[in-house]
Amino acid sequence: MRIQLDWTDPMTGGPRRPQYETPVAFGQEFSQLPSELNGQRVSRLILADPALSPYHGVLKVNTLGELAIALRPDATAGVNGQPYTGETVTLQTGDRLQLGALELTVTMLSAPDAAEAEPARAWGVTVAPAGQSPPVAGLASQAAAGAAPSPGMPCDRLVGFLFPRRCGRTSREHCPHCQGGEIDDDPYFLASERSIYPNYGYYGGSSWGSEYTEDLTPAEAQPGEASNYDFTEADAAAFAVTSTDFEQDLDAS
Amino acid sequence: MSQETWTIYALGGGFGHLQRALALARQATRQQHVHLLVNSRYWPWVQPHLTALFDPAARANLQVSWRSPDLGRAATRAWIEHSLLTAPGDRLIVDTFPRGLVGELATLLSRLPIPRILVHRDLNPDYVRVQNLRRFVTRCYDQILIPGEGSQVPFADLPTAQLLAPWLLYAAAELPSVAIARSRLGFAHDPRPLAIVLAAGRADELTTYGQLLATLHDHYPQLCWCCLAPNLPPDCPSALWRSLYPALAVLPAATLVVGGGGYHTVYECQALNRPLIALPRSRLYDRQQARLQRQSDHQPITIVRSLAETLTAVEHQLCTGNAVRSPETWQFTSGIAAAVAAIRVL
Amino acid sequence: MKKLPADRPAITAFAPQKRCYQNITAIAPLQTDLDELIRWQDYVKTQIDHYTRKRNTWVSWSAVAVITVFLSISLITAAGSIGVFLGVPGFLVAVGVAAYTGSRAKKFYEQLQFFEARGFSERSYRHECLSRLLTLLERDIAPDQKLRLRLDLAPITDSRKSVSKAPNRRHRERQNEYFEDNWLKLRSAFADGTKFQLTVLERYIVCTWRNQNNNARRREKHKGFKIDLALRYAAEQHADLARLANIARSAVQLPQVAQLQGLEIQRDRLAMKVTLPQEASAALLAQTITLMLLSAYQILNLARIRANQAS
Repeated sequence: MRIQLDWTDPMTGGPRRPQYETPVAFGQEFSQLPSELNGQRVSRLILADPALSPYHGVLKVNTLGELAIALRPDATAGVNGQPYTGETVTLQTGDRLQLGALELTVTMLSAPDAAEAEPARAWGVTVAPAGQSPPVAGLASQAAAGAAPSPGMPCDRLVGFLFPRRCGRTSREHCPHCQGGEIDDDPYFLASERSIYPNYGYYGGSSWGSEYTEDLTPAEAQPGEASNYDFTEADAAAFAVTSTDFEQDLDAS
Repeated sequence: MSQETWTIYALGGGFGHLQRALALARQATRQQHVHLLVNSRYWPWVQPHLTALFDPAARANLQVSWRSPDLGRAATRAWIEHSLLTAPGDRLIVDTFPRGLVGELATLLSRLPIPRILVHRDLNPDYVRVQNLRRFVTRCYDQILIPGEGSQVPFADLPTAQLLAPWLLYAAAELPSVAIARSRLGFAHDPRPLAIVLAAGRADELTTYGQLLATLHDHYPQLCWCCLAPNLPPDCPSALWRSLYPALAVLPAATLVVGGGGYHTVYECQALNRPLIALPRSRLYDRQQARLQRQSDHQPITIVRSLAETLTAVEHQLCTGNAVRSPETWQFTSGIAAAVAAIRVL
Repeated sequence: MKKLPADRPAITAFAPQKRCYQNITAIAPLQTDLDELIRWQDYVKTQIDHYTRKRNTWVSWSAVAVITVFLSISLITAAGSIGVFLGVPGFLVAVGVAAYTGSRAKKFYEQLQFFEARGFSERSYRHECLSRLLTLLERDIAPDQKLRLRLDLAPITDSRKSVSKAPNRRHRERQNEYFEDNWLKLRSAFADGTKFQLTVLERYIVCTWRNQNNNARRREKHKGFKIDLALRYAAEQHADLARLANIARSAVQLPQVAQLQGLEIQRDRLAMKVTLPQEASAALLAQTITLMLLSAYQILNLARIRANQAS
């Protein structure tokens, strides 16, 4: 099942609307989230809210085909304003899920909806810094399960270290990133190594570059998109364009 | 009647641009002045060999302006603008780069009221697309000469394009015999077949060739190995290194050639029908891999990617006997004479 | 026929005399070569340990035999006919054993020298550091993109790395010799078209003098690392770098021991200089370089966002 989660980024005030294939594991630490559950590849969502556990819970489809939320022991959440712990709760389109200071609205997507809805963006969209706490990392996971290339469709797994970008391959064969589909874990390759630079790829809040972006925001940003200077799909796509180094090198031939 | 002056713009790294320009100048200077604009790093090394390449009368008609490629873009642009605006000559022949190596010709050509000829070596299609070069070439050039590269290159279908044989420095009749070529290399008394590693291309690629030669020399002592390079490649045994120019003057001695996929390496081997084991190099504008694949239908080329593949290819050439066969005579036509005639009628 | 030991790693791009690896190739073969270098280092280390043990054993036996020779001589000269009766055979046996053990010790000593001249175990952090880096960077480098690498694994006190000699400032009778080892130079381009060059230079001082007994004395000191990173990128894909340059230094995050010596940003290039004031492990070196790259890209990524938004 493909779902869309909507919430407002408390740091930037901007809306977030990424889509995921279920199951979706969520929590604070990417490395703690499973990459596979019962043989299914898992979409991983990092929510940098200090009230959440490193691995807080999972949204999955139960045997009746309903979307359900299952929390890890000691984890808490709320559905439509009602707190709950422990038992599995099913969700409908429009249900509101309270996770720490965040409120996420769930939408189950039919196939046409999935095609029309705004695609998840490359960077920043799945990082939800809450309150004044800084995000654990400026990079977060889009789906791993949904990232798998289907025939004719480019793989939307994020690859790269310095500048994560869409894989874009239409086949896993000879793929250097997932080794022909054998490596299913961390779609943000080596995110743990990248975490030596806290807030890498993030320019909001008190992070580096925020002065610069705030300085530019009033005149240039669109309403509702204030301070959203994280990487976007367009930014990721820009990496795919080969740099035009033509007519620069005097020793070229 | 006063002689015409042809200006040949041949900026670009490596040997190719310089050597094509010299080949054209060698023929053209018999009847007119030629002003050569070059920036190859190899020019200071090539310069002393000009006396052997040009007869005295022709040499007097040749003027060469050279600037180092380290000069910088702005200074190079200024130099070219100054050269072409103050003394454009009667024909402008531009090698490979329609807009100039750093785009300096883009605005300059329209200010030069003389016939403009593009010598069309293969070009990266991305560059052609990014700069919309087809439109530019159609508008700015009166003639396109395609020496040896065939009809697969980007501007081959333009109406002013003319396909020619490859431009080589020497005509078939000018080449020395195998014995003379071997003696020039200092291997007159070595009975073994001679294999030559042509270390052309960028200076920083010399290391690879040096290592290659050292390994080949160790593995195949039944062949006499020799490396032609301007400078001694690192790791190359100095006894096997020869600093001779041009390579074509000694290439008849080779029974096997190992080199890159550059213009002259490929077409000189084709002219002499020598088996070539080629490591295609990555270039910003040239497509060596494409050239080698194209030419492998017409000449004995083995494309290799690594040292291991090179060793296998040499082994194969030895097994088939190709590496030890040495034809005494060769037949080829250089496209230079036709090019000079075509430029003259403009 | 006895198989001779390998005298170099099975890598053609490695010059064994200079102990320098130099190659222009894609990342995969480069990593294979580095693995081979690490294997070679392990092999050399094992061999050195093995032959050191062997040599020591045979030197000990040889010493015992020599002592026995002297004892036999003493016995012959001091104990009359009985001494001669016992001492002469003992002397002859001991001389034979001493000659045999001595020759064995000499043989293993030569083997030891052979490997000590070819190994670079003391500089193992170099290829380990590079190997770590390549594992990270291969995500951002096209598989067929060539890397130009020069990795010098010769000892830092190799004579070709000596840059100057001068008397010690405090003790004028002592002579300082300064070494600079530019052991890493890596050039290539990332998949976004940005070209990069990374160089690592290591400094070292050897102080030599003679003490009052005229014995040679030597003291060595590591003077740290100097790491240079240069990036060259398409100016049109990065906006407002001139403004960003003013706050760029605060984007640089480094390990505590590392110091940022310089950061220069222009519209099409960025240069960063960092020093490590002390000896460093492969992990620390790799971490420092990784952070330099992340810091540089933290700046460039923002400039790229601005360029995209502007367009």
